[in-house]
Amino acid sequence: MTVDLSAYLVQIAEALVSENGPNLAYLLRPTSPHGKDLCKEFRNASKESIKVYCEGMIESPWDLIAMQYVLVTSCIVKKRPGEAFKEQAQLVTLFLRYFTQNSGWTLPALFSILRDLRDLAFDADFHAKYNGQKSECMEEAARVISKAFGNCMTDRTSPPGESRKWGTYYVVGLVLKCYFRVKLISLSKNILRALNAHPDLPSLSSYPRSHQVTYRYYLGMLSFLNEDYAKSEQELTVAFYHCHTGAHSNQERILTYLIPLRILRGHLPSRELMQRFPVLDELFTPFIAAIRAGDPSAYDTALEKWERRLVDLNLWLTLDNARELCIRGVFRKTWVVSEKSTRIPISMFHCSLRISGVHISQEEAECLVANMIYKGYMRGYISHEKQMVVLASTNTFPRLADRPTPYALS
Amino acid sequence: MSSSASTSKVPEETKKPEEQTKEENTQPHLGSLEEDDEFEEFATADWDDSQTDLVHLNGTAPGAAKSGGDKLWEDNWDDDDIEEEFSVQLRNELTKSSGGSGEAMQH
Repeated sequence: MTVDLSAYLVQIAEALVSENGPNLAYLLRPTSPHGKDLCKEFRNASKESIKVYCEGMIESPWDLIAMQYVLVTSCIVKKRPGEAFKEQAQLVTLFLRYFTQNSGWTLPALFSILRDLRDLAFDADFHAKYNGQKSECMEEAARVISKAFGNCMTDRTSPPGESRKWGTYYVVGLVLKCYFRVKLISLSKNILRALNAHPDLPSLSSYPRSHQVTYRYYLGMLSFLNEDYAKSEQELTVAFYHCHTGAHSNQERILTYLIPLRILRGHLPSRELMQRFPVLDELFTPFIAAIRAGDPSAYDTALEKWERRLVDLNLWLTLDNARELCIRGVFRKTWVVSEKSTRIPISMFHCSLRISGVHISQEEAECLVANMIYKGYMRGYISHEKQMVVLASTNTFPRLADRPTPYALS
Repeated sequence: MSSSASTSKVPEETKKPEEQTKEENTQPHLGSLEEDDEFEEFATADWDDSQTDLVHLNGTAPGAAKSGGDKLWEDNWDDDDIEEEFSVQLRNELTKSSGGSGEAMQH
């Protein structure tokens, strides 16, 4: 059954009266079947002529929202993503007028039109870039979505259960997704600052899991990029454990950063975990095997092999730091072979490094031992004069998981 | 419209096949971890513990390790079984350099 404009307006009015958010979202989605019908109806119509049909036919601003909807779908059909984006941005702005006057029942529709806005920005920028043109739709999308974020967060009138505040974290997730896409990560700070300035929001754990996980993923990623590894590990851990196990590629994304961070903490992923993520298994298992074996040269081979990918993923530095875990392994093996003596000559460590393929001078080996002691990988001190390492008789090589500051950089 | 396009890939730079071969060999393809990919929209808004990895935990804190009840991670993998080769080589080297005095074995 085809839907003409008047039928469409009636359906919108019905959704508004019954406060049916999901239905409203459906009506505003360009991919819904009625979109094509309306497109046909107004095939060659100008904006002005569509306006004549819409204006005053339904409570404001819904007449203009309906008009924008027709324009957006037409632009999409004509494959003009840049224009489609602009029209959708106006649709959102009009929608926000209604949104701020109402409780949170409209949130499903808000989420849907913001998602479409971001997708259209993606298409528009992609299309422009393909044609060698400059396009900043994603930045513009971030600005529009940020406005919606403010409108969610500052709801002071709706009853708590129907507050627009319940949209806050979902919308933040979308803004961050925009910023990440165009690599304007630093702008994320403003959003997070605004969020922290509103302690009256319901606690994050009371939001739907999809909102929590997405928000924590981006927070974890931001902390990672700011080299706040402890915070990053914390957020990504919660994100991983609350993620739907069916959302495999999202879990994989989270683990891509969580696994290296946990390795540094001395928590290695089990076979059981790795088998569920073959791509990560292929990437990380050579490193993990080298750490288990205390084999720095195998580790270096893996670093070299994956260098470009690791650099692309911003993970190279993290895995380069985790090489120390291999060195610890070499030193621990040396200690075991020395029958766990409390006095081991530096030459012995020097020698075991050489056997393991690390060719450095004795002075450098001494320095490496000093470093490992300083960083808490082993307990003891060096008698430089006697070229002897004096080791603690208990807990000589503390468990990696017990190191107090696993993320301190040298 | 676009929801499918937003996960589409930027076409790879066109390279001649012979140039590509070596690259491909040294840089294994990472499938879904390519840089362009994004955190995806979830199919449902909410779900319960049974659909997450929290079920592995049996009530312990997420992110502990095997010894703490979380079998997805292992925090205790030091062992004293050193490969024969390493220990033999190390002993040999020591005998060579210290004239067989076995200095390292002193307590």
